Amino acid sequence: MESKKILSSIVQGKKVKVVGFDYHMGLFSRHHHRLLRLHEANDLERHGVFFTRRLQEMGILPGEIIEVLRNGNIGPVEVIVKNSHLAIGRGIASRIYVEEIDE
Amino acid sequence: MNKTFTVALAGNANVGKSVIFNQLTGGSQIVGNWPGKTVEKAEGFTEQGGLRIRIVDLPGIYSLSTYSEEEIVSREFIAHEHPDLVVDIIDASNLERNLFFLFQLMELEVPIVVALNQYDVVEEKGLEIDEQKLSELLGLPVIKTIATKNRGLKELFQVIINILKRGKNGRGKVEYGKEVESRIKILSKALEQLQELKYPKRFIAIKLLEKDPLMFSEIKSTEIINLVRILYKELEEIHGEKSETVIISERYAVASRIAEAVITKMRKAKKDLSDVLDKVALHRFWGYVLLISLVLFIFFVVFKFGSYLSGMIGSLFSLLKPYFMYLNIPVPLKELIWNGAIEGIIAGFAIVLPYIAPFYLILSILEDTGYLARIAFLTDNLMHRLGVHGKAFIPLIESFGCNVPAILGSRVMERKRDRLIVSILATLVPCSARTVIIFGLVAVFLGPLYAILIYVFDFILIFIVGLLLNKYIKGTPTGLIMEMPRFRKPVFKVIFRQTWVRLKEFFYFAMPIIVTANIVMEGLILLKFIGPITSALSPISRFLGLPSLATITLIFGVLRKELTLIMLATFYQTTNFAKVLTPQQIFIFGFVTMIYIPCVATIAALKREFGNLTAILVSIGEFIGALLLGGLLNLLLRIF
Repeated sequence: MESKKILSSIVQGKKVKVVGFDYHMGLFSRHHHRLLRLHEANDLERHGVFFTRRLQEMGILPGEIIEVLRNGNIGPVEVIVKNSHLAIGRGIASRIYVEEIDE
Repeated sequence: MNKTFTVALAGNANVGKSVIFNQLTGGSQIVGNWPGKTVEKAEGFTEQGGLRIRIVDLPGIYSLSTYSEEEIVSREFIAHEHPDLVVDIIDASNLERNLFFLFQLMELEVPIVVALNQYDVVEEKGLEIDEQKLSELLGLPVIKTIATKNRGLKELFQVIINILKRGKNGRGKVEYGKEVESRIKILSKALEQLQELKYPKRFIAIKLLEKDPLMFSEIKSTEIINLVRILYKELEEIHGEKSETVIISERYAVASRIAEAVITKMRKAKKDLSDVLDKVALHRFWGYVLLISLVLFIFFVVFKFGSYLSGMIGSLFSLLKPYFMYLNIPVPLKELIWNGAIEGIIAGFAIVLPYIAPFYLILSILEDTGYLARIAFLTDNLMHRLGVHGKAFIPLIESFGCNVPAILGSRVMERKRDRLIVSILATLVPCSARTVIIFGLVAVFLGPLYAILIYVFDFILIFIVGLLLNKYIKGTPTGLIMEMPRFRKPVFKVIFRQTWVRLKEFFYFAMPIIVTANIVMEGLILLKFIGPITSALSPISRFLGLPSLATITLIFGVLRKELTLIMLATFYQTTNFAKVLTPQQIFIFGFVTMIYIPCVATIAALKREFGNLTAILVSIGEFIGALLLGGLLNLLLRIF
């Protein structure tokens, strides 16, 4: 199945499988609305490693099936992972790759 | 038998750890900070079965990596201070993630007892956990508890005492997959050549394979580091994932296996009330309606109750004044003591306490029921514009009571950048003292509409400052990753403890500063320094369009904001300010007091959390900012 999507784009109520993370955000930052300087890009990458580690420690691991419980157009995404509820900020959720699974 | 045993309580957040801590220590606790860290440390003593036991409550965390200061504190405490026993409190309804944490504790090779807490939630879900089997699989004692109903705690304590008396206990062992285990062994073997390791070899080996940055910096041997690089590259090749992912997956694989083996489904699950409540609390529209009405209601209650209590305590103290004035001591000294020291204490009790006590109480209730996490969820989007995530909203709400606890409370944020932004914004939030001024001056003499206008100005300013800080403070905004705890009934013992701890911290910290500052200021008045200061301030007065006597009261505001109003009344010998100030002046005065400089206690809090430089920069920055905006306002009001 070639349907890699980002978590923040998944409609609520769907179950998805985690496939990976976007560690690098690229040199254009949506947050700063401009190209990043080198030290900023480095910081961002460190930050990327930092938050993916925490996500994985909370159970968002490649291969894990999670359920999108709440996803409005703005604000965090709430998922059920390993029986517990986890709120993930929209920016982070847009850097988690998932696959929709057919039921 | 004089030895004091140390028992540490560890576990995830939201597992009922504080309830167990409370029951075990019976309310006698010492709360402070971990040395050199901005992490709260709570400990208590108890005597049980002839043993003296010190119980240390470790912060609620999810892992022993280095994501936050809490995690570093916990792992250093366990590894370096060798508690006699660690009680891992596990949320039974969330077994896998809690086992994930337990495995890391086991790797620290300390004696562990597992408390399988919140077992009632498991039953509600129609499940059952075989604690006997769990205990066998882990090689550790496991006790079912429902702390909120005081069930299983006696048994837990009995087990703790038995282990301490016997002096030994199984440490359990977790085995991972072959590829990982063989590399852990190679690395542990290599670590043998190093001296004075701060952690058990197996723990270090696993953390190195996980690429734990702190562990890398602690291992000085390049030989080992090179070996680690080779090993984790091998792992990455075999599994096609980063090696930290491999290790974390391995842990979860073992956790799932164990969870599957011990959990049986007995009945159909009851409908989870918490999920139903969330349908409203986190609703895209109703969630915000609820949040806003709740916040307004809280402010209404706090200020209604606060002003009532404040008046009562104030008049109680003023009853004492005539008696004091009868005392046979020299008049200047008498004034210094009463107007300086005692008025300072009165201010603490009569002006600050009545507002922050109910505020803390409500905050603790919100925290204990799980609603604070919902607030963070709802406000995450808004707060992101200011460069911080939703959890930042909580200290900002706290700030309406008093800025000091808000700055100390900014510790809920994981990274320093976020804490700094939140703290600076917190100093601009109108605390109860400033509210007193706006209500007592602007609302009374200009009408409530103008008071609201000042608030609106202030909120706009906070937003703009937030945007600027986000843009110019180095670093990347942190995103939100937060467990959403289930809604639960609050436990009042815990709520009162939390309220008490917060209040105590505030008083120990702020009271001496308020009193000292008050004495200094009274000394200045007695020594007739006021005249020269007034003339020195005259350019500022002209710039702001305020009379010089009014300007000088702004200095008093540095001590405590509400002093500006009190001193205004003292200087002009009237409380009818309309007689001495024009409406424009009242408006400018109110606005400038709102923003011009944090009070001394707040500055001290900034210094404690971020150092001298930040405290000075923020104070000067806000001083200049307030002057410029006040001057601008003066100019505009003159033109129109």
